[in-house]
Amino acid sequence: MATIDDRNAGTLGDAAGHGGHHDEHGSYLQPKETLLATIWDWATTVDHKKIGVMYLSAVLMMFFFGGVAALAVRTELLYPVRTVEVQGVDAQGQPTTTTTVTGQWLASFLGVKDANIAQNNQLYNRAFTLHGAIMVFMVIIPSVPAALGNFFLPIMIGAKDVAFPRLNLLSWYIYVTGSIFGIMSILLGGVDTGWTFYTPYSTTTDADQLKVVFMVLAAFILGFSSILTGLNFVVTVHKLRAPGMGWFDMPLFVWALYATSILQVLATPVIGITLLLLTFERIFRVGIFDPGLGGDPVLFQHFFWFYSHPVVYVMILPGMAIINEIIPVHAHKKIFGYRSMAFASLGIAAVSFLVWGHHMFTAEGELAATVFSALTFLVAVPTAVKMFNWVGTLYKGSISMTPPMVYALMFLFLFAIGGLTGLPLATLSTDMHLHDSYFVVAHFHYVMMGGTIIAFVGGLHHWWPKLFGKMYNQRAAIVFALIQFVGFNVTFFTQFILGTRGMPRRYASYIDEFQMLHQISTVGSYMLAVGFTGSLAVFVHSLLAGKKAPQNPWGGLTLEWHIESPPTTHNFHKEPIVHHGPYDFDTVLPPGWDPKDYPVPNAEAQAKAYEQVEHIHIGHQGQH
Amino acid sequence: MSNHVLQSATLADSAHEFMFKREGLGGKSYFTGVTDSDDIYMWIFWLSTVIFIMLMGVMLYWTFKYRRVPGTIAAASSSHNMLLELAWSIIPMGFFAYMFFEGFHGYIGRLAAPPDSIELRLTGRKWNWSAVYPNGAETPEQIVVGAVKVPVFYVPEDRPVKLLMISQDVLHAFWIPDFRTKMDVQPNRYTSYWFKAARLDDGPTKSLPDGTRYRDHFAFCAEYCGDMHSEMAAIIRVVPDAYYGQVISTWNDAVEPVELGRRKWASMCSSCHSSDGTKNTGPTWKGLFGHAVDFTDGTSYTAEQMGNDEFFANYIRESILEPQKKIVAGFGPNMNSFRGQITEPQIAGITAYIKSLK
Repeated sequence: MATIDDRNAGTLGDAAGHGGHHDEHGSYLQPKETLLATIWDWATTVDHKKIGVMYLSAVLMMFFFGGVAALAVRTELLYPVRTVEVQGVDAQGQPTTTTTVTGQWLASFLGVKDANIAQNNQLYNRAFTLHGAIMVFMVIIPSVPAALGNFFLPIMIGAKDVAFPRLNLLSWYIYVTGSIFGIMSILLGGVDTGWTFYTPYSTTTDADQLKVVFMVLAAFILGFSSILTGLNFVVTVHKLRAPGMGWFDMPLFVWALYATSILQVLATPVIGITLLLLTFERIFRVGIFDPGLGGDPVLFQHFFWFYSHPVVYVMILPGMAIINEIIPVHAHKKIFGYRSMAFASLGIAAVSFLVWGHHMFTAEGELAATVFSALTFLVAVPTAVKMFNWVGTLYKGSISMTPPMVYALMFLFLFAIGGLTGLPLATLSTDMHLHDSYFVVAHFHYVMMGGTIIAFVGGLHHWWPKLFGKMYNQRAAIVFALIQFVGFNVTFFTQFILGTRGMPRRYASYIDEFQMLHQISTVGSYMLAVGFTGSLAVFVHSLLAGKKAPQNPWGGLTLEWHIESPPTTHNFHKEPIVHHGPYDFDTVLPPGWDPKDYPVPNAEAQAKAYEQVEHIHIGHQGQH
Repeated sequence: MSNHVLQSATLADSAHEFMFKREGLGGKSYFTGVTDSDDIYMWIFWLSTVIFIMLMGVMLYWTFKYRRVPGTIAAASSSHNMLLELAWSIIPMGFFAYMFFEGFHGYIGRLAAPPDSIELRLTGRKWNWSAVYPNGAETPEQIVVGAVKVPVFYVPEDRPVKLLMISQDVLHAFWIPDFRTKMDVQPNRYTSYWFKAARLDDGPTKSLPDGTRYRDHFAFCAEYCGDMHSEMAAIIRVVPDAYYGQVISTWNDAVEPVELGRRKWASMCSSCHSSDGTKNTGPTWKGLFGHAVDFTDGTSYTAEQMGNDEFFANYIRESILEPQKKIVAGFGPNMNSFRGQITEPQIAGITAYIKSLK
C-alpha cells in the first residue's frame, strides 16, 4: 500500500556489472568533455533513453518534411486545373486565340516551364506519395513505440534498460539506413505510386529508373527496425519487470506497447516478403502481381493489407496508450476498467489480423467482402469500450487543465469522430459510395492524425519535463493546442462532406462545384501548420530558457515519476520494488508531493501519507 | 405533435441534402431498383451524432464539474463496474449487427443485375473510358469536364443497365456518385455492377437542341492510376428510352474512314495524343504525316519515309499494336498495346484521320 521503495538495498545496485563510469549518477544528458566525444557517445550509446531521444528528433524532422508535402498538396488543390482560351493580338495586329493551362501551382512553384497537365499532375502525385510514405513509415509507426516507448518502457517497469541494448542501437541504425534509401528516392525525383504501392501501377511506372525500387527498399528496411524493436520490447516486458510488478500492475502504456510489439513481430515479415516480390517483379520481370506477366494485382492488395491493417493498430494502440497515462494522472483518478482496457488492447491486436479485406470491398468477391464486413464490426467493440472507459475515468476526478490533458480531451473528440465514421465504411452498401473518396481520407486522418499524432504530441507535453528536465510555457502550449484543434477540424471535417458529395481521393484537380470546400480545407491546413510550429517554438523555448522541472510535475504514480528529471544514466539508484498499482490515486501520495497539496481521498491512506513523508524527512529506512 | 415531427423531418432532410448536395441535382440518390443506401447511411449518421453528443457532453460536463480545486479532497469513486462494462460492450453489438445486415442487403442488391439488363462493356485505360453498347456501337460524343474532353455515355431512364468492366492496363475504378456505387476495374478479370437511373420526371432535367430531355451524371475514376487520374471522367447521360434506342443505332451507321478514325481517337487516344499540336503525354498527331521523326533509341524516320502511304500505315499500325518498339524522342514508354481492343478497319480509320490532320 505504500509508495515504491527505492531506498531499499537492491539486488541490482549500480555496483553490479558495469564498470564505474563517473557519470552514472548524473543526468543521462550530461555532455562529455569535448563535442566530438559527446557525438561519439551518442552515436555508440546503448542507453535506451539516448536512443529514444535520437528517434524522437528523427521522427520530428520527418514529421516536418511530411507536413511540407501535405501543405504542397493542399496548396495545389486551392484551384482546379483548367484550360483557358486567351484572346490576344499578334504582331500584325490580328486577333489570336491561345490556350493556356491555369491552376498549376506546383509546376510554377518548382519552376517547371510550360508544364502540361500530365506533368503538373505528376508533381502532385509525387507530393501526396511523399506525404503518405513519410508519415506512415517514418513518422507514425516509429513515433510512439520507438521514441517515447524506448525512453519510458524500461523505466515504467523499473528496468535499467531494454533486454537487448545493442540490438536497440542496431534498430536505430537500420531506421537511419531505411530513411536514407527513402531520401535517395526523393532526390532522384520522387515516386508517384502512392504509399500503398498498388500493382501493376507500381511495377510499371518510371520503368526505366531505380527510384521506385529505392522507395520500396526503404519501407522494407524500416520494417526490420520495427521487428527488432518489437522483439526487444516483448522480451523486456516478460523478463525485466521489477520485483512486485505483476502483469496487472503494469501501466497500460506498457500493455499497449506489448500488444503493438507482438503485432510488429508477426505482421512486418509479411510486408517484407511482399515488397521483395514487388522488387523482383520490377527488376527481373517475374510475373507475380502484374497480369501482363501472368500475375494477379489483387494478390498484392491481400499481401499488403495483411500487414498494413494490423499496422493501423500498431499506429493507434500506442496513441491510445498515451491517453491511458495522461487521463488518470491529470484527473488524479484511477483509470476506469483497467482490466477491460488491457484486454481491449489485446483483443484489438488479435482481431486486427482478420479484417484486412475491408480495404478491398470494391476489389474482391462478394463472399470475401461479406465476411470482412462482419469481422470489421467486431473490432469496433473493444474500441468503443476504450472510449467509454476514458470518459468514465473523468467521473469524480480532480481534473487539472494542463496541456497534456487538453491534448487528451482533443484526442477523445477527434478519435470519437474517427471511430464513428468508420461505421459507414464497414457497412458494405454505403462503402460502395464512400470507398476511395475524400470521406476515407477524412476518416483516417481523424484516426491517424487526430488519434495517434495528437496523442503523440500530448505525450510529448506529458513527458517533456522528464525527457529533458525542463518545464515549458503551459499557457502558450494550450493556445497552440487549440489552434491545432480548430485547424484540424477545418481541414478534415470539410473532407467528409467532399467525400459524400463525390470527390475521389488522390485527385490533382476537381470539378468546379468542389472548389469552395477544398479552399476551406486548405485554409485549415495552414492553421495546422501554425499550430505545430507554435508547439515547436514552445519546446525550443523550454530547452533554452525553461525552468528546471521537478521530479513529478503532474503527480503521476508510475515509476518514471519516482526518479529524477531528467533521469540518471541508470534510471534508478537501487532496484525499485513495486508496492502499488500504476493508478492508485485514491490511496497513494504521488512521489515528491506534499500531502497538503495532494489530498488522498482515502482518509486512512491520507494519514499514512503524512507518516510516509515524516519518514522521508527523518530518513527512516525500509519499513513499508 | 405533428408539427414537431414535421420539423425534425425537415432537419433530417436538410442534413441529408447538405451532405450529398450536387450542383443542379440536389442531394438525392438517382439510383433506383434496390434499397437506397442513403437510408442506412443517415441511420448511422444520426446514431453516431447522438452517441457523439452524449459522450462529449458528459466529458465536458465532468471536466468542468470535477475540475481541480487545490486543497480540496476528491471523493473516492469506483474504478470498475461489471454491469456497466458488460452493457456497453454488448449493446453496440446489436447496432453493429443491424448495420451489417442492411449493408449486406444493399451491396448484394447492387451486384446481382436483373436478367433483362442492358449490358454495357466498359473498358478503362490510362486515361479514359470507352463503352461498347449491345449493338456494337460506341459513343462519338464528348464534352469538356475540367481541362479535358470526356466521353458521354447514353443510358435509358428507369431501365436496368449492367456494367461489365475490364482494364487495359493498371487498376481503375468506375464511380458514379449520384448512383452511390463504384467497383474496381481490373486488368485480369471482369467486374460488374448495375444501376437503374431514376426517371427523368423525378428530378431536374435539361434539354438537347432537338428538345429531348436528359440528365447528366458524373463518373470518376476512383482508383489511383497515374498522371491523368483526376482527368479520367465520363458523363452518364440519362435520356428517354425511345431516344436511347434511336441514338445508339445512329452511332452504328457506316461512316467514312476519317470519321471512324476521329471517333476512335476521341474515345481511346485523345487523352494522350492531341489533334491540334498541343504537347501531351504522347506526341501530337497534327502534322505527323510527311514529317521526320526521331526515336529514343537514336534512330529516325525521314520526312520522305513518313510521307510514303504504305510505310506510314505500317508505322501507325506498329505503334498501336506494339507501342514499346519505337518511342518518339522526348516521350516516355507510357503506352500499352491496343491489341484485341481495335479492329483492322479502325486502325485504317485512325491512319486516315492522322493524315487529315495537316
